[in-house]
Amino acid sequence: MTDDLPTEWLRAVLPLAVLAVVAEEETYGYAVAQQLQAGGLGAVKGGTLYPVLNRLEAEGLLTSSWREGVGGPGRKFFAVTPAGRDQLARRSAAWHTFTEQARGLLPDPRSTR
Amino acid sequence: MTSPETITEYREALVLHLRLQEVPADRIGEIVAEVESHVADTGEDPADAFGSPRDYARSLTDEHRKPPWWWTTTTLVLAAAAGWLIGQGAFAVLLGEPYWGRSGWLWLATGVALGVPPAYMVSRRSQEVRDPRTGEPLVRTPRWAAVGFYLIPVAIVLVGWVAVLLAR
Repeated sequence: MTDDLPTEWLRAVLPLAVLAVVAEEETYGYAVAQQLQAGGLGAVKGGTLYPVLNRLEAEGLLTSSWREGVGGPGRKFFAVTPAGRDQLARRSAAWHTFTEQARGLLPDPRSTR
Repeated sequence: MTSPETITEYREALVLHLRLQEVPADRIGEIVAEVESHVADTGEDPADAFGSPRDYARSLTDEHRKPPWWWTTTTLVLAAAAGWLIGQGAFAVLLGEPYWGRSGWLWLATGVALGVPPAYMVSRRSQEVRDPRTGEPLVRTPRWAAVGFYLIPVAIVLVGWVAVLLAR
């Protein structure tokens, strides 16, 4: 399903999707990538994911902290801030409105027309 | 599973390219630790997950803007002027002669004052990159490098001074 998705679409929705995953629970990069894949966005590479996480942090929507791993190197955990939750709510509402409007313009693949 | 050598090579190259992009040392530490922590989880080759060190460092330029060209040029001009004045001032002091009708100490002091901004820039750029997970340095910098940086100009002045004394 994700094979046909243009990369511009992924680029547009990725920050919001990442924010949504982190808002679910405090988590780290690899787990975010797994959640995105499970959610149907395909395999998001580290080189794409971390700049998004860091940008969200720079904008004050996430915070991060390093935690020691069990028998391995530490992991950087990300948590959503109140500003991040606020942004997620507003942008999600706007995204749904946008996709509904776009859907109205596009032909329905189930239609026989 | 990626070999430790691959990780070390990638780390060294990424630190170098981030330095070239003039990313601050603490951010370099964070970026490198993110890469290593991620590939430790996935088992991927860092170049497969993040692209080549050069491309990944360049992709972060949105986050870290390089200083404008005139900033680098001004720093280089100030460093050159400082080096020249310190050299001439030191010669004048060592020979006990004025330079351009002024005491060598005056030129020396002017050179040191002009050298403060470029020296600050150099020290900022050469700040040690530490791993935020352990606090340890990520890349070993040879101790002789910093010593050599400061000893070479001193040696040039001293050799010149001895040459002038011998010529007399």
